[in-house]
Order: sequence, then C-alpha cells, then structure tokens
Amino acid sequence: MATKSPYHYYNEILSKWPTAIAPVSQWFVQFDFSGANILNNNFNYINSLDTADLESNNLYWNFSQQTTQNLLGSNNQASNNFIGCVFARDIAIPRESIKASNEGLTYGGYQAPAVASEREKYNKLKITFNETNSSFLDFIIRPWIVNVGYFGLVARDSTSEKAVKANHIQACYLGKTGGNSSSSPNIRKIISFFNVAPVEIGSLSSQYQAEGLQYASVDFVYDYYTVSDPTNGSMINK
Amino acid sequence: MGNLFANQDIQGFFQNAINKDFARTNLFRVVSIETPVVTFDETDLVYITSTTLPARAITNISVPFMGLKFNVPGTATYPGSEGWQVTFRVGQDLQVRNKLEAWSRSIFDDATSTGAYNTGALGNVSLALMDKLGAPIAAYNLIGAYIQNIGTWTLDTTTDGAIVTSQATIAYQYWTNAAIP
Repeated sequence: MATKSPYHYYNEILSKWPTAIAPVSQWFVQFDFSGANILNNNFNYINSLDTADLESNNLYWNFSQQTTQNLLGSNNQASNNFIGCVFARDIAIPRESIKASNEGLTYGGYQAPAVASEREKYNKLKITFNETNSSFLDFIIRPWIVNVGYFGLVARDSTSEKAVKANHIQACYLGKTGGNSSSSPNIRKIISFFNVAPVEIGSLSSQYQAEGLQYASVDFVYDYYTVSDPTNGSMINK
Repeated sequence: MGNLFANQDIQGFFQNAINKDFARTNLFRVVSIETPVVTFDETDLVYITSTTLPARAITNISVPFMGLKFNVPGTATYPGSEGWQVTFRVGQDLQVRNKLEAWSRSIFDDATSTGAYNTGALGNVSLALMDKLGAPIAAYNLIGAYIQNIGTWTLDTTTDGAIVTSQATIAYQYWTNAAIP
C-alpha cells in the first residue's frame, strides 16, 4: 500500500478552507463613531479652544458640517458597512508581548526555567489613510486629535459632548469564497479595538517631482481589544 | 488511457478543423469607445487596424514546504490595464486625432489646470469577436477607460506618402464579459 508523502498531505491541507493560505489583501476596516460625540458635534469646541485671535473672530478651523457628516456617514466613506472605511490603505495590528526570561538558580550547567513577569502595555493601532479631495485626514482625524489633546481620554458619559472615544474600530479579514458561504467572501476573523481615539497623524508629503498618492499614518489608542471568530468556532469543521 | 492516436491523429485534426475551424486575428471590431466628451462613431471605429484582447491574471502565491514550492491562487489582476493599445488609420479630416486630443485634454488640461480625472468621469470601451459571417461571438467591456497616451506620428516628406496610423494607449480599471450584441 502506497504511503502518502508529506507533500501530498500538505497539498491536501492547503486545499481545505480552514487551513488554506489567507490572502494578504482581503481585509477592511470598519469604524463605529458612536460615542465620539466630539465628531458628531462637528468639532464645535475646536474654534473656541484652538483659535489664538478670538477678539477678531477669525476662525482658523473652518470646514462645513456637511463635509464632516459626509465623511462620517454610515453609508458613505468612513464607516461604509459594505467595504469598510474606503480611506484605509494599510493597517498594522499591534503586537502582544509578555516579558519573560529564565530566572532562578543555575548550577552545574542546569538552567533556570522560564518565568513570565508582566504583560507589555498595549501598543498603538496604526492605520494609514489615503488623502482624498474631501480630506478624511485633515477634516476628521486632525481635529479629532486636537480635541483629544484638549479633553483627554478620561472616561465620559456617552452623551457628553466632550467624549472623544469612538466606540470601536474593527479590522475584518476575509477568506476566499468558501467556509460559511459558497458565493461571497466571508469574514474569517475580526480584531476589534474598543474606545478608540487617534493620538498622532504622520506627516503628509506633497511634491512636484512625481505624481502619485498621498497618504499618512495615524496612531490610535484604545482601552482594550478582542479577537473573534465570526463563524462562532465552527470554521475548523468546514 | 488507450491509444492517443485514436482521436488525435491527422484525420482527427482535419475533422476538427472542418467542424470548429479557427479563430482569426482579423475577426474583431471595437464596437464603441464612449467618453464623457467625445464619442467615436462607426466612421472612426472602422479605421481601427489592430488592438489586443485584454488579459486577466490570477496572482500566484508561493508557499514553500520542505523545499517544494506550492503555488496557491491569489486575487485577480488585469495585466496591461494601464496601457491597452489600439491603432487607427487617420482620415484626411484628422477626426480621430482630434477626438483623441479632446479626450486627453478633458482628462487634464494644463492650460487651466483642471480636468475630469476622477474615476467617475471616465469612459468605457466595448470590443467584440465575430465569426466569418460577421456575427458577434464574444464581447468585452473595458470599464473606467481613459486616454493615457496619444501616440506620436512620424511625418516625412521624403517618403511615398504612406497612410498615417495613430496608436492610442487607453488605460482602464478592469474588463467584463458582455452580453453578445
């Protein structure tokens, strides 16, 4: 009886949905801005706090409520529930790390066992956004960061107009057709970051030398995150 | 598996050629080039001499295992979508050239620094393959097309006055199989 080679077995593994290679480009990011009342309030505070020349009534931050609402709209650009935030270009899920080392007595060549000490503090969630005509980076993210600076990240009632934390950001990863659905891509994994606020926007470069895309990286902080299997644990049975 | 000559010998080939014939490189037509600013009518399109049927590719992902490289299919791309080429004969009235220039200037006009260069303002191209009786047998739509490059013309008073052909390069987003017109 012919035995199965490791290559045949590996090929069979690759051909099954749960163990098929996940494509790197199949993902999207969803924002839930509820809770970030500072956004929904059209940054009403920003001019009263961030205008240096109040007496002359110059408004340094001046963009329309329509722009803000169009960018945030649930069926528009930033939180589209079909393809996610259309401005997102790439995302880096922060690492998870426990400090650990081999501590204790060593004697005669015997080594001490591994000992864990503490869990590393959360690293920032990094998302890079494309620049567009109606600038999500400068009409939403940048004033949002300024408001985070003024009001801080302290816990606030969800109805407070100074609340700066968005309810959550979800990174949704798609499998190819298969798994739960035979005709449409399905979400194979969701990483959700809760109580999210941006704290840094990278520099946005413009140049005359060559035509191309503009984009900038944004760092978000969050209170906690979770990883979920939208198929409720049944993926491995597919 | 049997004798492979049974159906794939010279007689089988000849019978198949009788039954199915062969696709020919000249049996195509560009059915339409529609843009927001100019429309190429049939008097323009009939002057097209050559083009290509666009390609579609599946990205290959290499997954090495114990020295053997497995190849896993990834997502789709449209190779050459940044530059689909079509060649026109040019009439004495320069109509094709004028339309290509107008289309190009509508995408971006350096005289005014304005242009319709968002993807919603682009055009579409349709082309079809046909049988020997002129009946279309396959049709393709190139979605989100814009003129990327108007080709150069070589003008030379020392030649015998050859017909000018103009090569245009059109970029598009992706193509679809269309209903046979």
